[in-house]
Amino acid sequence: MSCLKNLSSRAVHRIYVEEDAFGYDITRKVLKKYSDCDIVKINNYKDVFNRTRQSFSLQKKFPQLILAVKKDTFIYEGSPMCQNFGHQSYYYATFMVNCIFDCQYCFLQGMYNSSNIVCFVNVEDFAKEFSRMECGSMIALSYETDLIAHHNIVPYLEYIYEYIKATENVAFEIRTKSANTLILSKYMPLDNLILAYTLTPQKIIDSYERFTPNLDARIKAVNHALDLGFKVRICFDPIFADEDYEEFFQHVFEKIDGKRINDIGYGFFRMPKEQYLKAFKISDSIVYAKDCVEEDGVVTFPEKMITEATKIHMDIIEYFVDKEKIYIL
Amino acid sequence: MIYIHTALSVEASPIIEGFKLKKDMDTKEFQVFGNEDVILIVSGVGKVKCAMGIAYLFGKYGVCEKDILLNVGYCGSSNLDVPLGTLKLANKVVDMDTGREYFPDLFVTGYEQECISCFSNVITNRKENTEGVFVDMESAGVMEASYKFLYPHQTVIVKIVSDYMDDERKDVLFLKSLIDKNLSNIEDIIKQSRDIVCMAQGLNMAEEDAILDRIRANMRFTKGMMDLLRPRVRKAKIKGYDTVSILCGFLDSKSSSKVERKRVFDELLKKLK
Ligand code: SF4
Repeated sequence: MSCLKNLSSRAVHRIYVEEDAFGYDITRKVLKKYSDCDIVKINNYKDVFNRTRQSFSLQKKFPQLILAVKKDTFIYEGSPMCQNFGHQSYYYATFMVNCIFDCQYCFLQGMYNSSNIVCFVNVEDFAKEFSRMECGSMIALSYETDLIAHHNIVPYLEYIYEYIKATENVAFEIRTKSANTLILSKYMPLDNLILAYTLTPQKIIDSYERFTPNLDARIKAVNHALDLGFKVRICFDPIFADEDYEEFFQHVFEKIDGKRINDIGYGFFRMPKEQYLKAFKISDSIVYAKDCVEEDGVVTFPEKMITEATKIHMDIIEYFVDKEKIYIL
Repeated sequence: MIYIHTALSVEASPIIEGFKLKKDMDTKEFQVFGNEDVILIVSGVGKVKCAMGIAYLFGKYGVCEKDILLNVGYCGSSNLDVPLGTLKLANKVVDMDTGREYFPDLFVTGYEQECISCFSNVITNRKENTEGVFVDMESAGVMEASYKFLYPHQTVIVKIVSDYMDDERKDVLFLKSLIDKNLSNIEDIIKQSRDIVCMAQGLNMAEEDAILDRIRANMRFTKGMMDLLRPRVRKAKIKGYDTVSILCGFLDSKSSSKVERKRVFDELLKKLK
């Protein structure tokens, strides 16, 4: 039983917990932390998450957590729309589904019926799969979410760090827009762990990346991670071909020494057509009013715009970062 | 529109009086009362009658994303410490016949939230296997209808504790007083639900859609043309164009030939670009 006196936007106010999830350490920690939340016991997270006709935007405003036990598949093969950064195979693990941030271009906008945040609590089952991956592959750990941004809600890194350390022959990427520098200090850098920071011009952050830290805070986080000795990837992704990036790239590399960067990911806004159409229906973001085109089931900018913008951008980026470290999708 | 469902007249009458609702004399199948904002139906007891009543209301009066469905009714409690008259909101409903679980997306605050176990018959045994301590006979029917017609945040199940799952018969005046005392809470729940529903509204294309339908009829645009046109109008509106004015400029156009139809269509697309 719970009596919610004040439903403040952006604070977790209700937690749905699968019956089977109660026995896990993560669940105990989360429930202890959110002891004044409304707790609702559920049989299967899909009964809540997959309800038809849910308000994505309302749930974004008032996020609810779902603690569940993941069954069957723990690691998925990456989509061809994602970068593999030179690794022979690319996989992703979904410890969480959905995100506390609200990037209007995010493929999550059109992916699920719900924007409630699902956290899978059986981390060990995921981790067991790590060791089965072929040597030289890469696993994205922050795929349908931003793992570091959620660290204060569910500290996944605490649970998976040792497994990452033990799986030396596989590279792990944690992609984030978070500016949380505190959590990194607790961990030693690992050769197979890459922290990938998504950087975007402040104008884009203001327009499309609701609730995310500003550019300078992210740059500070990048430098902090570098100072601690972490391998850092910078992701300029998504790029909007109709926006100016020249000043932004200059600004980024004035503040970050390009030579210290492990590599760069660079890619234009792209979304599978089906998801684009779903997002278009529910979103009133200008992202979905851009003059994009559909090619082979993917909605993106016209090829000509992409080619022209890439040339201008690469002239700047390659000045600061070795060409072979830049991965273009 | 605020749709209120109750199973019994005794649950309905304090609301009818409080909201000054008038009986709809045209409706014979159910007892229906209303004013310009609120429509209340008394469906009879049980989840089947309840789902039927709500479906009837929605069929007759229509339903849209701005509407709210409130179920107001009594519930039993197996916990004797919960005072009679306590108001609870359901954050989960379990159909005890099928085991199916339902979840309203509850954003209303300030009231205790509970799981309600919904039975097909009256439960007079406090030791009955229930989830939580509260039982009723309608909530699963409300949720079944809600899942069909509404977003889960549009439904609020308001339960008022009326008994301790015993055989004791309650006086009608006493039962009415339980609802009466909660009328201001019910009003507050409606107000909060209205705000929530407003927050969930996306881009309102109703005006544009209505004009587009008239243009379509005049110009005899094909389905394919309309499928192309509607997203263009939406995009233009997102970009900040005065889409209503643009569309109104085409209201007088009439299709005299295929060529003319194509010309007007292209001109409209150009204006929206
Ligand atoms: S931070 Fe990443 S996962 Fe989260 S909303 Fe933005 S793009 Fe999506």
